[in-house]
Amino acid sequence: MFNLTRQEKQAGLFLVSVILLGLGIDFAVKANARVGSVIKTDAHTAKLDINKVSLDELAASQCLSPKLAKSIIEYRNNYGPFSALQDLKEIKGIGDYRYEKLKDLFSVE
Amino acid sequence: MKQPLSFFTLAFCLGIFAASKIHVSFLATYFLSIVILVLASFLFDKKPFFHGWLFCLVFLAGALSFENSKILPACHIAHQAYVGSGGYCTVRGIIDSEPSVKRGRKSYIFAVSQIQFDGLKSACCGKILVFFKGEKNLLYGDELILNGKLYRPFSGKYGSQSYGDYLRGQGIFLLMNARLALSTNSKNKGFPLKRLALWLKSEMEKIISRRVSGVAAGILDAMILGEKKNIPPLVNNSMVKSGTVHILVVSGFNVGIVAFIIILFLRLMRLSRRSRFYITVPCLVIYCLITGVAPPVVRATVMSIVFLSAYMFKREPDIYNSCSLAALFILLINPRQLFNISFQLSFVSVLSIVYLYPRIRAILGFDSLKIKYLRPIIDGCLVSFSAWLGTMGFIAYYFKVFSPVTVLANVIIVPVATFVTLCGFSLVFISLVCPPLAGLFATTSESAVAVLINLNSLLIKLPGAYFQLS
Repeated sequence: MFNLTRQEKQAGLFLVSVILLGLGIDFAVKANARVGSVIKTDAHTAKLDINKVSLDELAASQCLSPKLAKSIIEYRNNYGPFSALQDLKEIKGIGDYRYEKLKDLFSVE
Repeated sequence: MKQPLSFFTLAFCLGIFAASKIHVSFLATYFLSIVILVLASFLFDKKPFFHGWLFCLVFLAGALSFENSKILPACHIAHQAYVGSGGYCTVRGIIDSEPSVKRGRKSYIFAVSQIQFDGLKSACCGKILVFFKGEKNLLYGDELILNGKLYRPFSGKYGSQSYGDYLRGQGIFLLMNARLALSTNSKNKGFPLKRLALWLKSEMEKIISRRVSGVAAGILDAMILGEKKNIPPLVNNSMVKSGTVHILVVSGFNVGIVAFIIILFLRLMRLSRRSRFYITVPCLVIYCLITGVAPPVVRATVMSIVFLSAYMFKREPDIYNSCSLAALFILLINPRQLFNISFQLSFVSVLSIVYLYPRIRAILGFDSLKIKYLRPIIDGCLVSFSAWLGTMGFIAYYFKVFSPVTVLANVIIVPVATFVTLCGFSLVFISLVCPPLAGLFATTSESAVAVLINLNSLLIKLPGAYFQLS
């Protein structure tokens, strides 16, 4: 049934050797992969600086409604930069519940 | 041997299947395969021994490849998640698929390069499926920073397998509900050829939706671009019942049409055989990328390239060898595809047509048929019957439907579907070249789609057309 010619046998043996070698290397790379250096950082890459963020950026982030985004920018324009995140509660529409949801997404620098 | 690749593919598939049923240690199996490789090299000239050892070797390569696909590196996100605060974390990476929208939610595959939780940041790898509510305009290759909750896929059924198994088959182990998505504003990092393919796809989708109405546009999108999101569930279900749902996905049939159109066009331009080959092959690869690199399209693309190569080098192509090469190509990249319904149906239907059709034709004595105009009809029936015989068991097992009407339905529906596909491609082409004429093609396409849907609903109303098995 399996009557391979000499060339087919050579090609088959070569291909299987290459596949086995590739699998061995891939396995060795995976097995020896270590978690890269873990850096302790306070700077959150996914936090928006509430004093620098623009209206477009706020709207594009989708974490709050366009109306609320506008209110935040208006508040900043009228009263100056936020000194702490808790200042967000001064804005109409941000109560304790919404503040708890938003506080992880904003930072004050 | 006439089909040496079939021998290797069979052994490789058996190895994958065995490894999925019995847990084997990678290192022990690897050591065994090295021993067999050395033995096979020594016994190179001893025919029966060598063939046996070679079969074992390919079998073990299949098993090893499956085992290797299960091993995740330590930096993989599946290992790093859950260490942090209740699944909430920040990840950085690139969008690895075309974002799709369903019920107001965007979803896309995200290749992670960095993870941060509880103030700890580290490099990481792997893919997650991201869901994001919002209007943000996202593209394949965009680099983003996402914040959200990571979770494992639920264990609901997706076809015959669980949703988790289905996603794991695609290398996805975690999902994320993103609540914040920030763009890093860096250069698009996507693979240029895939970006080109996705751009072409979106342009073609725009043309179709501009020219053709809702349902017809959804069906044309599915038949030409492999985009199934706009097919009404009612139409999809009725196609499943009549066993003609294969026309709603891009398959070898569509790849064949694309290859035919390109070659015909290049021939009209009087290009040489070699030039035709060098132009057609990249076009087919781009079409494969446009349609989302589904197993049937990859199979058909590899087989078409093999056939075109044979044509260029003036060699006789062998369908079993080209089919085996396509299967090996897909399985070497992802051995889990062996358990993918789409992979199984695609290969089983092709092999059953190739194997059964000439035999049934010979048994029934149609080779000596003298009435010429009856031949295409009988051939169509026999091809459809052969495919039905081959796939019947799989369809009954996976979809719990037994459809005796399939043979008749395919004989009637497939020519109409061919016409719809040709009209769809022509519509796109004419819209680009001569927009004033596009209206005519759009009307024809829309009417053909209406005929297709009505014919199908008539067929499933026939007595005994289909039986629901559960």
